[in-house]
Amino acid sequence: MAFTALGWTKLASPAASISMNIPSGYEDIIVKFSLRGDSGSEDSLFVRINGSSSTNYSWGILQTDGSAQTATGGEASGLNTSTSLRVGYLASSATDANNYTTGILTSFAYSNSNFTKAFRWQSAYENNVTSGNTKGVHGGGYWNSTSTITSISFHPTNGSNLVAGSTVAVYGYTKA
Amino acid sequence: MTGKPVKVVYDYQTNTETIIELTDAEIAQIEIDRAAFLAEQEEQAQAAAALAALKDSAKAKLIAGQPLTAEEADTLVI
Repeated sequence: MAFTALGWTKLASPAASISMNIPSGYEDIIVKFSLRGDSGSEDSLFVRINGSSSTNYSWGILQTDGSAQTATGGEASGLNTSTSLRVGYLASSATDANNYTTGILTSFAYSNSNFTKAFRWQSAYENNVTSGNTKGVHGGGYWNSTSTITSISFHPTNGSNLVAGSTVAVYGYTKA
Repeated sequence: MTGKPVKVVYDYQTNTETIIELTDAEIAQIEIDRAAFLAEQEEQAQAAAALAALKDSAKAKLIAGQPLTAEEADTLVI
């Protein structure tokens, strides 16, 4: 097996979203992200594939928040009822300064036209909104399309911007 | 640039970065996403408050030796 670094990028100025155009030629794609929003209240982070905001996403997350463990699922939790993948909570102006949400998102068989597209992710950030806890999210989901994935984008949910200094790094995985 | 929000697009095939103003449709979608998120937060907060109230009520009744409602019992029995 081999991992190939496809690129690492850093926002020079705030932006409503970061989109990565993904090259073909790999089995899986792994995205490492370190992102922060500028919302004044707690925010969450979601992902869209190929720019699609159709209701063809499904996801589930297990969330840990300090000493409490809670699980939550997609809005109106059901198959293909979401317009994005929820990949975690987003560090924002309401949280500690200089604190970023960090995580890893794996896109499996992203160019295989026989399958709908499956994802797995983990993310965490320090939540100082109410209690100073660290929120961790473990999730999985899929985009109900057999189309090849050509772009993956990150968005804040609360209408804010991602701040300058936010970074993403993309890797391609190939068999030996 | 007209002052509209922008998105940054990285192309890892050509190693180029492009800054693009959002379309009106994309800006409208942001508002839809925000409304959905806030509604979900409110729904979760209400559910958590209702569960906490049921647990408090169940605890008080157990201490007082009073019968629980089915909803209260559900908060104690797995």
